[in-house]
Amino acid sequence: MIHFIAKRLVAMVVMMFLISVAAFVIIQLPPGDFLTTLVASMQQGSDVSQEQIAFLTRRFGLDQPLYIQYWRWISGILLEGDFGYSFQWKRPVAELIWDQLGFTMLLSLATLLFAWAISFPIGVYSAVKQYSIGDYIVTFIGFIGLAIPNFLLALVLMYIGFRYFGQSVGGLFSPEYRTAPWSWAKVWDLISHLWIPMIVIGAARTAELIRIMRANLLDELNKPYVTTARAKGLSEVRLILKYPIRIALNPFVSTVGWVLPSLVSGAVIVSVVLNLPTVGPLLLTSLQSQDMYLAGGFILLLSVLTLVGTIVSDILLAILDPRIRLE
Amino acid sequence: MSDILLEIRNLSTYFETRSGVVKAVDGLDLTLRRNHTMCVVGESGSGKSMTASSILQILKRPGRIVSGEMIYHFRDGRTVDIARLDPNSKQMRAIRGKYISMIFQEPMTSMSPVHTIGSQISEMMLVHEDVSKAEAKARTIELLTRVRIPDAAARFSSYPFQLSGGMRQRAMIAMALACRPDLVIADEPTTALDVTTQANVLNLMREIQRESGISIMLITHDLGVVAEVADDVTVMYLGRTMEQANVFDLFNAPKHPYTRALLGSVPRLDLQRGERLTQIRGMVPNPFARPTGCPFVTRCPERRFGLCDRQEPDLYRLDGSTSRCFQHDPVHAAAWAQNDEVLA
Repeated sequence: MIHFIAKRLVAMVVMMFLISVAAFVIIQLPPGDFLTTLVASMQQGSDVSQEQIAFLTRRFGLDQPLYIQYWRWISGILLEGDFGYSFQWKRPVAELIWDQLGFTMLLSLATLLFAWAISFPIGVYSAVKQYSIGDYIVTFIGFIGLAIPNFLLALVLMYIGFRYFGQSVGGLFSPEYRTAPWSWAKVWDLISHLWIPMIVIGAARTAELIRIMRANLLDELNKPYVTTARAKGLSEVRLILKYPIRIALNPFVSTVGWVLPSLVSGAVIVSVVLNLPTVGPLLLTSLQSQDMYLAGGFILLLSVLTLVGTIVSDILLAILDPRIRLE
Repeated sequence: MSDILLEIRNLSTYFETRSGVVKAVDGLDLTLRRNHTMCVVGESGSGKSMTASSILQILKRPGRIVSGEMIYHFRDGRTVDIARLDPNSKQMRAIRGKYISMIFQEPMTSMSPVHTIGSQISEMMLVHEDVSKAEAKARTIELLTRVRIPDAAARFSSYPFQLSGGMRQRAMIAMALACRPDLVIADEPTTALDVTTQANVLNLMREIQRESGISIMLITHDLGVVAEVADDVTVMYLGRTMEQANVFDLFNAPKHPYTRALLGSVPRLDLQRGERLTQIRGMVPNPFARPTGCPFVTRCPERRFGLCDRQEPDLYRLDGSTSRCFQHDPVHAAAWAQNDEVLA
């Protein structure tokens, strides 16, 4: 097991390096660069001083060849946690990202748990009772969940929340709590705001996971080892929980790998519609405005999340399945 | 204690599908004796495995027992008609594994790939008996040793994919024996194994039977295996018993034309050069197009026109055996003998 994890970690480091190079190349790709944008904005009367430009040029080696620029960039991140400077926001990228990251992670995690908690029992039910009326109903709802664009769902839920529950909608806090210090009331306010984005972002994923769980379990339910378990005298509930579900879980947990990054990047539109303080909208504007270090930071972050997600799902799989662990 | 362990009378198991009813088992009669080995033989599709699934009531949907009885005799003299039990009932679950256990054909797929063989075997004891985990583990290791798995204590925590085919089947046998059942049903337990391993596994089963006095119902289509291990033999065709006899009678004096045909298709060492094996003509009929009259009439080399294709023969009791053929029917035997108008 330790050997298995160590191998994955080494592969992850190599992968990280390649990704950082790719991310750097990507942020260098658009025509024009950081300096020219700065100079242009100076001419528009921005408060960027000559010294500041000189400092940034030195700091990031902007007059140096690309590989030195890359080294400055990546060493800044690795050694000082300095992701560079966002021209648009005139703040260090790290600050901007960390600001939003907490809420993003919170929302992502809540959504993931929501999706799992809903899809697992429903998926199991609809597989065990295949072609029953209940199965048809959840399958129908599932497909609707998959088909509705989530920004539309967001608008509808916002309307319902506002019209019938009198909630302040949009964002993660009511206006009076936005800048207030943390308290139980604020936590409650957060929770009452969380459900809309959770459902909106989670709906499609939940529907998808229901389908995955149903298909996996259907594959397993007719396997000979289930018959063996039945022949042992186990009760139906016990044997289904112990054997086929256990094995059907494999593809289920491996979804965690792509759930992490897609929760961050996939929720951009929803975050814009719902005015959520997550990284999604920030990433979008940074790409639109060629805010290179900010965009690069995000690309790097998403990649790290992907890798972390993959490794987490690999480890979960190895715990679940000895065939992977003992390869 | 009765000498008889399980009496199956007129058992029918049907699968009602959209395209019609498949009569997997159709009026089967079979008697299992305590401490004996019964081999059930027949071609693919004759209902052998479905009989096994019916006894344990582990039929896949939409299969269900539609009629007949299966009287099981407990050691203390009580009896129960298994056919009347609800497949999901507590009583049925209490029989599975504890009194009747099963060895499946493919040990690789028949064991969970993600649970250790030890946990899969000891689970049997934990379900049926009031034992602690430690006790169950100790007994499991004992069992694994008994089925000659080397280094049993270490193998306890092995997964099925870490064992060889023969070992896996031994583990499967150990699982079947876990609660000291009275009957072990083995559904082609050696089909997936190579010949040497096959012989080892069969010897092991025989040995265990001698030691612990269990009955074995062995489903096979290998007549060599039958000659080797059987006490009694039931020959099945299209879900029915065609002949039941003890193994010596069956091989020396087969009664039913189908039995004779099966025996004639086995390669033998005493065949002359150039002599051909006989084969049974035609194919097992489509389950939706069962012949009228005798089930075997479409392929029988001894069928009598106007009789076998009109009426269905009963299972006739002969001296120590039974046969489902008009030539053994006291009423029709004379007519059968005279009528030499064999259908071509």
